[in-house]
Amino acid sequence: MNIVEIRDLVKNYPLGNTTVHALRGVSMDIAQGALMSVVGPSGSGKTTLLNIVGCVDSATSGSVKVGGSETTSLSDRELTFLRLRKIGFIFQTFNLVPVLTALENVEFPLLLQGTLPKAKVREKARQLLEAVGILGHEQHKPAELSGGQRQRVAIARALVTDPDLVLADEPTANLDSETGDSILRLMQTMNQERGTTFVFSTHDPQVLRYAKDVVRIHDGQLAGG
Amino acid sequence: MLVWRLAWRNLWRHRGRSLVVGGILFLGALLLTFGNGVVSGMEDGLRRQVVESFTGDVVVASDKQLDDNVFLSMMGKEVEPLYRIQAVRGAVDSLSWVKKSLPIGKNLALALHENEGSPGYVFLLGVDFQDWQAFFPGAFQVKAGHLPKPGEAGLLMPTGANEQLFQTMGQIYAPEGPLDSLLIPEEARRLSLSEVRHDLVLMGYSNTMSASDQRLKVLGLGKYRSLNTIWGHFALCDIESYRSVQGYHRNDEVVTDLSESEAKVLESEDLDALLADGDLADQTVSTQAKTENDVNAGVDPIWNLLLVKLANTSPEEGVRRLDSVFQARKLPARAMTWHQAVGVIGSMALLIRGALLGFVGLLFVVAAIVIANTLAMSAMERASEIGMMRAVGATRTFIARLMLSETSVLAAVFGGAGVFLGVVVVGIIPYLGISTTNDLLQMVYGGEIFHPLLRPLDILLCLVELGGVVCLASLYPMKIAASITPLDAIARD
Repeated sequence: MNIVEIRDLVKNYPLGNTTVHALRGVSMDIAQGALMSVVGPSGSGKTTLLNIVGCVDSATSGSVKVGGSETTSLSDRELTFLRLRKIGFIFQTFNLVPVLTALENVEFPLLLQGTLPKAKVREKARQLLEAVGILGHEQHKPAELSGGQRQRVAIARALVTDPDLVLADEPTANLDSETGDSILRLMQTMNQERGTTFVFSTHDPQVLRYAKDVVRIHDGQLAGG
Repeated sequence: MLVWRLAWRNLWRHRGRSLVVGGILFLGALLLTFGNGVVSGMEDGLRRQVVESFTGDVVVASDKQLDDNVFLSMMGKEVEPLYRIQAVRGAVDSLSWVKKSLPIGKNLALALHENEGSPGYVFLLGVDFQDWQAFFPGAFQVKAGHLPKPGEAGLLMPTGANEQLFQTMGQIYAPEGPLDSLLIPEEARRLSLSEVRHDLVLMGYSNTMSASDQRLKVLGLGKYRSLNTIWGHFALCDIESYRSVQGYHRNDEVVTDLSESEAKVLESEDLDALLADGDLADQTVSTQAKTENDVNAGVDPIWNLLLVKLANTSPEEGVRRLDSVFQARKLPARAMTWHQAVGVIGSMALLIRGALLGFVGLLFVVAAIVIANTLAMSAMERASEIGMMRAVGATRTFIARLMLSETSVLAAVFGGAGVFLGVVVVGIIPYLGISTTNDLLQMVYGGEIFHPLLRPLDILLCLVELGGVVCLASLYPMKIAASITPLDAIARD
């Protein structure tokens, strides 16, 4: 079963008097439980692809279905709720709310959902912090954590709502190789243990060994897997 | 709860910016509260100085009275006689929301110089002294002489009118007996003028020329409790003398008084012949116009105005209701608010109030703009953080609420402190005894002593206004913040 279905996806950006063709008719499916890596050089369109799948950017044309919903026809509010309930995000750097502790950052999406009681929210957040290995740092603010610890908190936050899909845009770009490896291993573990679908972009060939599927993108077009 | 926690921590994190915005809110709230205190004190003071000392809440005049400004009209324009006063007063007094009423005569009178000098003028209020004092307790303070006894004819001369008469006529008027030199016009003191006259010849001054001249004894010299420079032009005299001066006679009096020869005189067109010789003070001059008035007068005594004090009703509402009553009962009267009746004074009061409110309003608009700009800058600086929150599922509404909450916390802490300090300052100022003798400042001060005032409703108004500013100041930053997308955050990153 596919969690994401993309057909003829085109994304053009105006840049001054010219148009940048970021995606030129991409079609692909992402199966539930996948651990997929989108690989390509800088400017190839991998971040744009993840942004559109993650409903933070809109397509110029084409079709994108996430969890069965055609995202190109949804309103801003509907897209926000889709992100809140079905998609988890791990960004390169701007991952956490600076004024919240690690624990509160993980609780944040659940509090936005407002469906669980406070105690349950706290319990779930603690479990995830434990799962990503930083339980002793739950009262620390992001500024008091290392880069690797912050990404672990981000992974915990991305998983706390039990999303169908977790998108990670170059999650190891700002980390040393050892920390980067540990983050990727963590994602691999989560994928295996929880069955969560992970899609991460990278331009580092070393990262590929963690992916079950690899999609190569070049000049806005898929180059094969 | 999440929003408030985030708001509080964001403010603490950006302490410098919070202090700047908070400082503006503190100062704005302090000035707003103080300004409202001054405005309220002014209104309260005006009420004491004008309503409680001179006009009442509402003034009833003849329906033929075209100009609202019955007290301070330019050139002393005549105030029409108010006929059927008993019916009018009966109708007014029967209303449950009317506290009490007082009829008065009010018109300009010429003060005639008995030694061929220039005449002066004085605004004359014809009153029943006892009724007037009961209606305006303590409004006129006698410094020399005495208050008229019941049935006693004569004048109560305020120092302002005395000064005016001295300027135009060069004469000083005072009651018999010892006189404090400070009550004599300053220039007269300087020139060491010592001749004081104890009576004054007054002649009604009106468009209809229906007046008589009358010698009136000065019974007392004194001051109005407040705004003496303005009200000081109004001399009080007993109503019978007033009517004689103004030539107001009832039909029954006319029928009794007019002899055949007098009727012939009235028909004469050569009025100058009447003034050809003899002592002015000893003559009573009547004209055809007087007879016309008398025809309308019926048998009611004639007054010019009915002053009305209201109970728990605004002057505007009182006027509306009184006019309905007069119309329904076909009474020849109409009502006006005290603001309208004192013309320029009422307008000046409204102007000062408007200026103060305008100043406070302008202050807050400027404050709102500065705060809005600071918060909008802050929102843009936090694009990454806000965009990330949007990416993980925060709605635009959540972000807007976050911004509003941040401003609200600042307003509650700093604005609240400003309002509190404003209340304390307004409470302390009356005890400092800051005083003025300037009439314009007296209006602002709410009396001779600067007496700003804040009632609970005024404080509530301050808080509401503060809330309004917070909302106004938050609108733009909220819009900016809510429009930040996750993509903006990514682009910035």
